[in-house]
Amino acid sequence: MRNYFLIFIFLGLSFESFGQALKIGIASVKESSFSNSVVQIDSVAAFEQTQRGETYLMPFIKSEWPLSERFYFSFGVQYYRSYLSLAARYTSESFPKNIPFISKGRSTSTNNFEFPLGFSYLLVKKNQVRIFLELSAVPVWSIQSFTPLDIDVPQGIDWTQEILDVINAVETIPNPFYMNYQYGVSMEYKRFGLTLFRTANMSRSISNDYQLYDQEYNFQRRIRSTRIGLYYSFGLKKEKN
Amino acid sequence: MKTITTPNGQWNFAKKGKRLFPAVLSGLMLFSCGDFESTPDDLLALEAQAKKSGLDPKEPGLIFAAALANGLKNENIRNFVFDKTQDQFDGDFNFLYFTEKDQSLGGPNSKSLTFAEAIFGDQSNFRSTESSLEFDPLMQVALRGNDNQLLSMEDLAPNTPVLYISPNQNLKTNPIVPAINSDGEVSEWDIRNVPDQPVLVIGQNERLVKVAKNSNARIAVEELCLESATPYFSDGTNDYYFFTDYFCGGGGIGGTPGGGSGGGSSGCDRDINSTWERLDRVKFTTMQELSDATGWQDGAPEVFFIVFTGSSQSNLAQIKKAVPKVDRSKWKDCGIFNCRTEWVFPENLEIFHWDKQNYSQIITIQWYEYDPGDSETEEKEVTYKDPITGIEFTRTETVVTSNNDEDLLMTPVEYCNDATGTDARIYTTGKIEFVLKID
Repeated sequence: MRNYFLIFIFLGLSFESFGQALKIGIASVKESSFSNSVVQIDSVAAFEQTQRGETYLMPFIKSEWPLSERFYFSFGVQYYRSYLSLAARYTSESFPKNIPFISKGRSTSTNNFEFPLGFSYLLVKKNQVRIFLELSAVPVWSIQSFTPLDIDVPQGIDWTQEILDVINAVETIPNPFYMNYQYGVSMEYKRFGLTLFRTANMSRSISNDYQLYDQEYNFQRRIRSTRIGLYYSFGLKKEKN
Repeated sequence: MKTITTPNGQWNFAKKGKRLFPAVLSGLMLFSCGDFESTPDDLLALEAQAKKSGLDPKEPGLIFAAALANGLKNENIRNFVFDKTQDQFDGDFNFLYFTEKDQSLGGPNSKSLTFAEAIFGDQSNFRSTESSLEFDPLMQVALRGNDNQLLSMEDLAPNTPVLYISPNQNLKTNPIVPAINSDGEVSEWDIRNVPDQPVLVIGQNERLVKVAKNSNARIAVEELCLESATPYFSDGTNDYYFFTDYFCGGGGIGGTPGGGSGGGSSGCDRDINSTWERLDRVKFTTMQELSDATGWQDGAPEVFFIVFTGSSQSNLAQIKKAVPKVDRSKWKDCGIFNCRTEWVFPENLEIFHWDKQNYSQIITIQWYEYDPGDSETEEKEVTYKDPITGIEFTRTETVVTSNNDEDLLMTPVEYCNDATGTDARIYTTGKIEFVLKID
């Protein structure tokens, strides 16, 4: 609720404070995660369950200032919630032969606040249709929301304190701040716009690494997303033909 | 690979193509002082196969397997072996050589011939090596194969192959075992494959536990359990108990030799109640897991699971069931400010009847949330172990899912876990919780 509240605050700001044009919209984020890290602790292997296209919703606002006839400076805020899922696959000599391994897991969610800062280039302007090319650098603040699994252990042949600790340590992975870049194209007709852009990480990994029992393990992960959204543009100054 | 035909059907052996039985027969009939007198060349096939399996060619069990395969030509021996396996002293189609070797073979002309004499030679006619071979008292003769075929069998075919599984062989690293048939052919068999037709398997019984008669040694084990238990048999220095007695678990199946009682009843819910397993309820552990599995824009969660039963029958090894699709709101309970996950109660979602004879005593349940996508085939190597013979075999289980399915991970379920009433166990994978019930 706190996150939605922040968005309403942004939306509630006076349009005059945003310059030439204010665009408000909502996008669908199709995000894929990539991780090549496996943390091996004794007979337990912990790894991220990589996602191949999870879809999230993302409200966004963006303000633009003209720098020249075709170049615009843009700044915006966009928010979405994503998930990081860690799995632990493990074996034990006590397991029966028909159970070579058992897998458990836990997810944590991050509330991602992104602040794209970049430029737009007006590529086409014909009648009331305008097409922009866009490129932005995007600082991202990720606020994590995690509920650890709390069960009595040991339990059965599958749950031990170690396994519980391993999957609850998913909490240590998300990095609270990282940088993205995004590029894309927007097409506007009158005040309605359709935008399509891709976002990727600037650095090789956005992980904070994996920490368990005061030991830090290298844990590389990246995310990439394709976003498509619709927006409405509030032009504060009517352009003169 | 060569296919050979038996009266019961076809066998697909990786055949060595060596004639063994003239050698074994001559060896068994003419041996003296415990050694074969046959020419060394005659034993090469068996020795080669034994070495390939990492065995000592002179292992008593291997020699017994060869002798038994040869003996199956004799109808009386076949009938004796078949009848003894049908007694199911421990609940399965097998018997111990140690307890049955001195039993009369029966038949019109074999009144005084014991099983051991019939296999290894009558003392009056042959110089037997049986006394020189130190057989493990737990060595058993087991009838193995497709369950339906075993249940419908009426007799043993003369050319029934005899497999030998040595207690010294690591089947995980080397699953090839010697197979011998009465035609004198030594073959090999990959025990990861279930034979098309029944076979006899010489191996170790694993339902009996050896306990030294020595009082000091007994103190080290669960003496309290053994006080009230009767050993199935003794060999002079050791007593042999059903493992259920040994571990205070009850559940003994058969009787003692000669018709005495043994074993006992079990306290497991599933022993008492033989109804089908059913999924009583299921829920996501947190709202995060629910949202991670299926976002609100994806609509109702489509949860399904695959039960790996440990059955050696391919059609029973995997059971796939889906939780009936209900509206997303049924999976959660939302207030004004927050939501929490809710149990979903599928109505009468029966899964299977957990018969210990057909399924492993520990099964695993793998959970998924279905998302449309391209079909994805995942092959999982699963090692099975026959609880009675100890036969281990690895089989590739093919799991077909969508490449967008959310893996909700897995959990094992043990046969004796609580499965009735309010104390039925709640299982969790960390992402999803569920309860299996049988009442």
